[in-house]
Amino acid sequence: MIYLDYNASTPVDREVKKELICALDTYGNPSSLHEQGQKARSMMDEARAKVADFIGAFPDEIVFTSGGTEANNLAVLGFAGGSLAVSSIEHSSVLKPCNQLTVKGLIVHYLQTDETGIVKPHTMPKGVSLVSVMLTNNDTGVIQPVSELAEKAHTSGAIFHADAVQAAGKIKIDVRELGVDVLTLSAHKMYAPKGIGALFVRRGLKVSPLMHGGSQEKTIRPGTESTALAAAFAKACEVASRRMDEDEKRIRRLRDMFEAAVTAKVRECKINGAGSPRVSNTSNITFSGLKGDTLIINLDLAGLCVSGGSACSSADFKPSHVLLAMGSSEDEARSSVRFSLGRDTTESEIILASEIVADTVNSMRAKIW
Amino acid sequence: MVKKRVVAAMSGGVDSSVVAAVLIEQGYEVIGVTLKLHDCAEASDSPSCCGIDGMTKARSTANALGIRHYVYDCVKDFEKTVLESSWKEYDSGRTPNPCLLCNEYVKFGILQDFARSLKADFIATGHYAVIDTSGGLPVLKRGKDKNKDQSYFLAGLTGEQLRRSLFPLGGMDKPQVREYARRLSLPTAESTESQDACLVGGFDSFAEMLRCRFGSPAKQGEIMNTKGEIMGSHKGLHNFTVGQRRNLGLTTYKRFWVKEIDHSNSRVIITDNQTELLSKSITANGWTWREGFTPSDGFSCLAQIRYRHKAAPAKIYTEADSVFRIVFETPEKAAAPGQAVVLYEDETVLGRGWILDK
Repeated sequence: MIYLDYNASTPVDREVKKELICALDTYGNPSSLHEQGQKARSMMDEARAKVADFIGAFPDEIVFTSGGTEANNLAVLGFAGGSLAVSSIEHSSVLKPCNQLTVKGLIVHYLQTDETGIVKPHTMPKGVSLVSVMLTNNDTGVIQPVSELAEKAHTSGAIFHADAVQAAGKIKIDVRELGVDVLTLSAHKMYAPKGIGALFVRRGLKVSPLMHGGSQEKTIRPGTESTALAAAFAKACEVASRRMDEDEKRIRRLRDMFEAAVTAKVRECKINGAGSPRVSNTSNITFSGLKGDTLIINLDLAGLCVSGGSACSSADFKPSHVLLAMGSSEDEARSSVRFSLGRDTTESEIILASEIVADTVNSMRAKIW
Repeated sequence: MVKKRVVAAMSGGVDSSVVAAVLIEQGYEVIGVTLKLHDCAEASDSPSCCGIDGMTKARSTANALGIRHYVYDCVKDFEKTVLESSWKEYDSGRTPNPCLLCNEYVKFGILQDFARSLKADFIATGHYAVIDTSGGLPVLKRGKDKNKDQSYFLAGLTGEQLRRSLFPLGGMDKPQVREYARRLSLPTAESTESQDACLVGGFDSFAEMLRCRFGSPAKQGEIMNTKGEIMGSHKGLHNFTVGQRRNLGLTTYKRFWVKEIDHSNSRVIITDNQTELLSKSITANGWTWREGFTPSDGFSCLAQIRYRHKAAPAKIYTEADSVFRIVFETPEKAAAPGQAVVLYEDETVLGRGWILDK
């Protein structure tokens, strides 16, 4: 089996796994005043400091959440004033809370992208309280001009949120350099377990909580902290900082090799967002005339794990809203597949994967059954 | 040896779970597929047949059996070929049979195409019916379990469709199927019988759900007896079917049955005399005949005019171009226009037509 779906989730890193297992021995409640509680408390402090360091933030600017979806919801629902602006290519965990707000009478502006998959900074509306644009798109891997957009947002008096779930561990993130006020991270996209994420909230900003209870995470996210997951997440950040540059180079070479091999062997296919700055691991390809869901199933049966886009929408095979926003037709968007590589991807896997793709696409097109 | 590949339609019920298990035992490479027929939100009220609940159960069964499982989205096709077609029938005063449409167009149409694109040799379903290919050409026969026999719902399948299908439960009865599921500890072994109540949800009936879905005005009118006396009014022709006794909306101690639906006058004709429901013969069109069979005038057969109807001796006659008249040996009750008439020779399906008129 060849796994090329790292944007959906990643295997847990060996060091992270070790850290997680060790951390499970610290069973105290971080809110307890006794020795066990204090041990747990300091584990949380350490984890928070490491995650903060990973993105150039202060520890007190990190709020742990259950994952990217909760962090995005917290950002959108917690900072929405009378109106907000989001890009049309955001993840559903940004777009769906916006729909909720629309129902409540708030005005949501959608920032459009062009066919390159990049959100254009000059389209910033005036008078919005929050602007949310992702740092890296999950479907195409296209990197958005976040610092420019943040500057524009600030000029018009808005807070800026960036969903960095698909960027973390792939490109360097420095919240000060980017100039963002709020930023989302998810652990399981960077070789840590599922179930934890974080929201960076710049000092001086106050976010309204989604849940109410104890005073954990400065009351922004009440509930007993998952110390072990926080420790694992922190370790994943440490590992990522250490090997990011090397990974980036190696994976980029493999991705480019994959795209070159597929485009050489398959007629009428198009790499989406190819001309734009992209993270090194993502390749989104349209195979004209094919049904994407059937193609993905055939690839799975041939031993290649890929997806049609955001895993959150895989049960109902709707065309990727990202590709539609980039000007693809419904049919084109439906015939697109996302390949995402990662740390464990090898050159021989890439060679084999490109052959499987070529064989499957060509035989489906020839309708040999 | 390369295993033959089969796509097993898995609804999440016990029958289709056993189908997958039996095929694995027989040495096939089995891929489980659950058809998604409507959007999740719509199915939330009825966790039965084809909703999200079924998908979850099918997935866990597939997992327990160690086979791959996929959900195939047929929402648009189901809407068009089953729901919209059914509504058109109701709206013209006829009684459609959505289960036959679903089999002919969705399960053995779209799913079969999908199976082909996965290079599968067959699709398999949990229907209680038998495909006999011993004589060369494929023949559809009644299932062994006479109480569960579903050949009526499958009678419109062409030879081509039958050749690419497997019904592994055809030779079993329901208790055997359950026993099989228990023996393998399948997660669905104790699941309850699903009612074929797709999408009814909070609506009074399937027909009323369709009316709301397609935004059609109800064809209201009078209820009249066979003497021409007005007995009351009704809220829409789609709520009635020939032979219906309940929910006529009459305040009378007498029993009445729907005798006829007069579409052009938006009128429901009722009778208190059951013998008036009898038909000596019916006509039907849109036939699918068993491969290699051409009916000759006077051919003797058994005719079944509803799912729960005991097939009655009859003879086939050509009426007009592609229309045949089925003449019963003794008159039959409540043949409803729009329903399927299925002809059998003993246990074997000869053909399926759509009832036009009594």
